[in-house]
Amino acid sequence: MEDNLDIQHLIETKNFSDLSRTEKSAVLNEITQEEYEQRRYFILNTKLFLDKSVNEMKPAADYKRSVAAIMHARKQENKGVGFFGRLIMFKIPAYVPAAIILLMIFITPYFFESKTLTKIVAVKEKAKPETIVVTDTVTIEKNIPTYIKVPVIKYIEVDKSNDNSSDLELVNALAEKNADQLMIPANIESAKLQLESQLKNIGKSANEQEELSKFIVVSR
Amino acid sequence: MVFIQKHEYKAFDELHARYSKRLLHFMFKMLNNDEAKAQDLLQDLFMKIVERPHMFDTSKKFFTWVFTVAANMCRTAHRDNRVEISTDEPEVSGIRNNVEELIAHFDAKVFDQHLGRALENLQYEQKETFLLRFQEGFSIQEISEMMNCSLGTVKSRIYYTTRKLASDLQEFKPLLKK
Repeated sequence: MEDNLDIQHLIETKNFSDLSRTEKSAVLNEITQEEYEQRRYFILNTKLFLDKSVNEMKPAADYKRSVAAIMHARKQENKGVGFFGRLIMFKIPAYVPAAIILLMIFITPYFFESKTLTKIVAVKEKAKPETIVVTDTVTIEKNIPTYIKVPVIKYIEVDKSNDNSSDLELVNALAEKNADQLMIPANIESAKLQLESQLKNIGKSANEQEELSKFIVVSR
Repeated sequence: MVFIQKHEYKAFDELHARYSKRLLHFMFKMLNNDEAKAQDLLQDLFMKIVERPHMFDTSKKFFTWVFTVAANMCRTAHRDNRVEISTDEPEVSGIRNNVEELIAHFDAKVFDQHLGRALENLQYEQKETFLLRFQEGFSIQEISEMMNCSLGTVKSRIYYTTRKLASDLQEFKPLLKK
């Protein structure tokens, strides 16, 4: 096909005698010299005949008057009408309004439907509220007395000479339970001082220490 | 064309003077030498241009556009079977004293007549392509755009139509060589 196109181009533009050696061999691969010349003369003469015959016919001119009248009328219409008039008179193809109407018909229910859907969604949201976690810090100041558990050591002086079995039983029971804590110091005052020094490290203020000291019960 | 869109009659007159003959001749050939029909279509074409000038894109070439419209109108007329094949015999008009001139004129007329008939026997698209190429001188690219087909199709049509017509009219070879 490509060869045919090249040959056609050569036929239209060159005489066979003007072809180069390469062009001649390309042409002769497809057609004979006679065919080439025949087609070339045919094209040249056809062009000539067709071109000559253009002038043989005269276009009718009787409609030119009506054309002139139409154009004149149009021009007058446009002159008399202002911008807004032209805007109103602006012609659009009939399919445009038809398309707009169709579009409206299709789009309007969509809007209504979408509103209903929104409502349903809203109801659903009410039924299933989402948990919203709001993180915030609330500082509440409250005076809560601090209680510290302090081991209380009871010092019980037992008169062993008096054979009071109930006292002895109590002492023995306590000794068993608090074996590690039950230490009887040499005198009670020094024991009390020892406890107070321990409390200094526990309580925050003097008041608290005072409160704590109440727990220290020394009974005889 | 811009002036026609502004309803300037002079612009119409100028377009008519420039293109009407070529358009008429093209239509005449496309409508199997039916001059009356060609005149009607030409009138329709110019009325279209005046009444609907916005149809034309002013950024494009008017010559190509107007021939595209003309070709489409002829195609529609052909489809509607409004075209009848001319059966007129060649006429020799006017008597000339010079015999050679008379013979040459006769030969030319006969060739023209035979060419007309050969064109009528072509397929519609082949004829249209051939006339747009060799009568109106459009390029292959322009024809492919006007006829809305590929370049290859146009080239192929031209090649095979030329081959066929040259073969059919080979008896005019001596005349053609002159």
